[in-house]
Amino acid sequence: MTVAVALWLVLAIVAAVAFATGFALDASAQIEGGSLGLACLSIACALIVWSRHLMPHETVVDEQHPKRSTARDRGDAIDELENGLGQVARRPWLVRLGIAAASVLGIAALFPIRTFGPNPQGRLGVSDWKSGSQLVREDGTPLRADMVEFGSVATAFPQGYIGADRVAAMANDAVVVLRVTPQALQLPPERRNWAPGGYLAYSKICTHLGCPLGLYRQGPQELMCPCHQSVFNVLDGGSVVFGPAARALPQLPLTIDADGNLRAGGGMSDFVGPDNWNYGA
Amino acid sequence: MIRWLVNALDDRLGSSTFLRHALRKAFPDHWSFMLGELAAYCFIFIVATGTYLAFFFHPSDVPVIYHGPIRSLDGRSMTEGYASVLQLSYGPAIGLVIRQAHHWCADVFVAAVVVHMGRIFFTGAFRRPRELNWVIGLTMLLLVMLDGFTGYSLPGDNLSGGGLRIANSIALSIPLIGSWLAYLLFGGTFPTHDVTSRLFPIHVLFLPVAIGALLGLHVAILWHQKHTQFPGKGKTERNVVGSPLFPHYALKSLALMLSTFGVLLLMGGLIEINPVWEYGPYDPWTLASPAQPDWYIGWLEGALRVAPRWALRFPGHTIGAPFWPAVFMPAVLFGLLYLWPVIEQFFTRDDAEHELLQFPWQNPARMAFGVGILTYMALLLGAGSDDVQARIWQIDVQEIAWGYRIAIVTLPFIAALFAWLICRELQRRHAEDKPNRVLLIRSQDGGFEEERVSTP
Amino acid sequence: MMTVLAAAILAASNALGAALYAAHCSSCHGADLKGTGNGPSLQHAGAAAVDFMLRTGRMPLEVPDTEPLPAPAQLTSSQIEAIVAFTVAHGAGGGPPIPSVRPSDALARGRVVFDGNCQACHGALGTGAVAGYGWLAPPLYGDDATQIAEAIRFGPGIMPHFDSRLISDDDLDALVAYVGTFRHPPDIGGYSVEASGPVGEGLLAWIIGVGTGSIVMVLVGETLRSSPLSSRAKSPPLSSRAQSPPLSSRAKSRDSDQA
Repeated sequence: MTVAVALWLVLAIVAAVAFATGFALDASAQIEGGSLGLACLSIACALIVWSRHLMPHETVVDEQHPKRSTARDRGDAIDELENGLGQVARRPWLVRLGIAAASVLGIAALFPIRTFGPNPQGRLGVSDWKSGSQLVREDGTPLRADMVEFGSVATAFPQGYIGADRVAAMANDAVVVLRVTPQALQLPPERRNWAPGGYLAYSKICTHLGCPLGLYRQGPQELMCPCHQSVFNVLDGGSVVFGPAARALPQLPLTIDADGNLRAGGGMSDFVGPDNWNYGA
Repeated sequence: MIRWLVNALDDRLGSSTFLRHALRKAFPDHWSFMLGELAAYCFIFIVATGTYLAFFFHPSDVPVIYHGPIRSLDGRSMTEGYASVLQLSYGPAIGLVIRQAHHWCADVFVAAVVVHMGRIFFTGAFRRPRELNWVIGLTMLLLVMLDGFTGYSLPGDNLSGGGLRIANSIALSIPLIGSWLAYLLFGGTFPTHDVTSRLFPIHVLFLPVAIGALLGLHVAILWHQKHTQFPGKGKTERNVVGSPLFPHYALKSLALMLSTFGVLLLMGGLIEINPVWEYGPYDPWTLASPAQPDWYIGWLEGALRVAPRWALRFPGHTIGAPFWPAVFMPAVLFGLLYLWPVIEQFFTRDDAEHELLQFPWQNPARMAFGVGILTYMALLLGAGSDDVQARIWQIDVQEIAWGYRIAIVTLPFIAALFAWLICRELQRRHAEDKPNRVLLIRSQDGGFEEERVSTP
Repeated sequence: MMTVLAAAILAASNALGAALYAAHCSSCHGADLKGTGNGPSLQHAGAAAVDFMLRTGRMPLEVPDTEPLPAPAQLTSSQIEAIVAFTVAHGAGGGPPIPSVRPSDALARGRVVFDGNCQACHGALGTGAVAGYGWLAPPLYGDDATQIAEAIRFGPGIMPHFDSRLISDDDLDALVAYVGTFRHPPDIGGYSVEASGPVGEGLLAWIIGVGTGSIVMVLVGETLRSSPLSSRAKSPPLSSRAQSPPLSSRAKSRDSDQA
């Protein structure tokens, strides 16, 4: 058994040296991690063998006591605390004033937390889409109606709100643009003219928890979210067909301008993104 | 040499009195008692590897243009944080090894804590006087899970970025304070330029310090109260039987420590984890399918997937549907777990100090509750990857989701019932093992007869 | 002379195409290519669609009305060419033609297009994912450049399609080049756990991490069997209620009187 321990330790030395060599020669992660790990594991194996076979087994017995202190210690501790507090409590008004001061200071000390972020009022769920906003692709080029055929899908943003410094805007403004046959549409009456020629645009931000809805199922005409599998029907205004989302997908009315570019015919039909406490106000 | 050291310390600290007893302190030897150490060694490893990584990570969301060995990302705009992770991963190989070992360690760390907590629970080690350590331990579990989440969200890749959006939206769903909470945490409308720079101090400073402090307290209390032990020959409520700390137990513990480090380093070098260069930088308007969080958040993911659409809408306000599975349910669950020592004491009317453990089957009610909870969590975890399962088994994902929904409301109870029945049966069998009392009946003509009477 | 020869070859090819179509396709797609109860019309489907379905082995479909899945091609290349020619000549023209792709060097551009249009269904590394209701967005590393281009241009099944106005021919060349890299992912970190992401990683963390830890613990520690257990010892009564000589919180221990 001593031999076994010795062999493990020798292996550890070899592995550690292998690591050092590998490191110097810029070896791969597999070699470096493998050798270093093997070195540790070899020492561990040596210790395991030592513990099981070489170390003489020994048992010790400690006494276990009830955890409580002696009644006298306990009594003394309580007495000390009560005496001390009693001395202070002889001036109750000062104590009350002291508590008031500490409380107010404590509350005041929390005020800087307010600087951590802006007031959510008026920022949640809003998008930059307005009547006439031109739909552009991620690289800024206009999305023309003839780019989106039946069965195609494209992502678009409002012109002027893209770029590396506009990520928060893009994160909420993103829309999915599709084209379906106009006869298949089942939009609510007030949205009859939101889909000229069957071109549809919906918010790409899932109303469940804000994940982008990239999965377009072109036959059944549905959008599916990869996060929790919410499925939305694109023909009837974005109603939820399956999954945990509790609100229909906001729709963006579309128009096609004289040059064939797609433009928004108004703002989003609803609050963009997930529900929050103030939705419904 | 040793003599000199001991003398030097003792001159200044009077340490020999403590040392003399400490070195001979009894540590019960059952293998399951080392689970806590497995977790603790994971903590040491993760802090060590994390320290290394902290020197190379740039915690910033400032956009940069990438130029480096990954051709498919050349010229792509990405955050500085993401670029720094790419640089570390594609630089000297040891950087990637440490990064991967760090991430593997996080996954293993939470698993070790859960198994350790299970051992404590099922053997009743949390009973008086150890309720405080139960509370501390449960808190550490939550902090470690949070540390893991903030950690894998640091690189700013597309997968973890999606997870941050979900976290932001969950915060938004909280009634009254949700919007403010989300805006103050993230610094504005998601995503802001401050996300990574805020996650960083949380991940490397606040949480590790809190966990470390609690861990120190946890071990100190354990040391002071002494370890529990299973009932057995020579073991009573008034003693602790085991190996002496030095050198026996220390050797075993050292073996576990080195094997933990070794396995984590091997995994860090040989098995790829979180290849962020494949996910690409975070773009909030595109996400790859399938999308899962790390396993210890997977139960939350599953709950979100199968939960019903219970959005409460009333004039002016909404409690979003995700509130129930993501905030309310975990609060109730962990509330129950925190209060369990109190709950159990209430029902068993047993407020005695216990230094001897119970075998799990000796407490059927506790076993049933624990098995039920574990079944529930395992089902939620499974539901979190229902789309991956759908792909592997070629079943409709909607059907799998429904299967999990039904299973979640039925199987935990069935499993609990089975556990309870099995425990009762085991109890009955062990009661029969006890020596029967024997009645000696003397007959009229002087003979003796035996009659065995089983103890009640 | 050449025209006569060409015409003859064409006639032979047409005959071959017709025969193959009749044998493998007409039962579902109709002798007139206008579809039947079992299969859709091929009118205006485009050469790309026919070529893709045949070359990826999705067609001929054994069981009608199921999702066509990738398989080894069932027909030879020249047979496929003949069927394509036949269908195009008989109504399938007018749809996307077979694109000619030259995978380019612009991997970064290809990735941008992929990330924006494809990864939502096919996964970050083209490993495939479910598309709901039993449909699968298949893995992408089995097909060659032309087939991938065909799928993009005509959109098989429930997949949307992208013509040259949405994804230009240059972008298509770049996209196809990038998808081609999926066959040999860099995997600098080691074994990729079948690219299963956090799901496979979590599984391995449990099996390897907790598993080896448990093995070590059992090796160095004791099990209940190795430390003899006797029910006669000073062990507590085995009931579910209060145990052992309890150190009750109310009992006065002898120590308390000695201060």
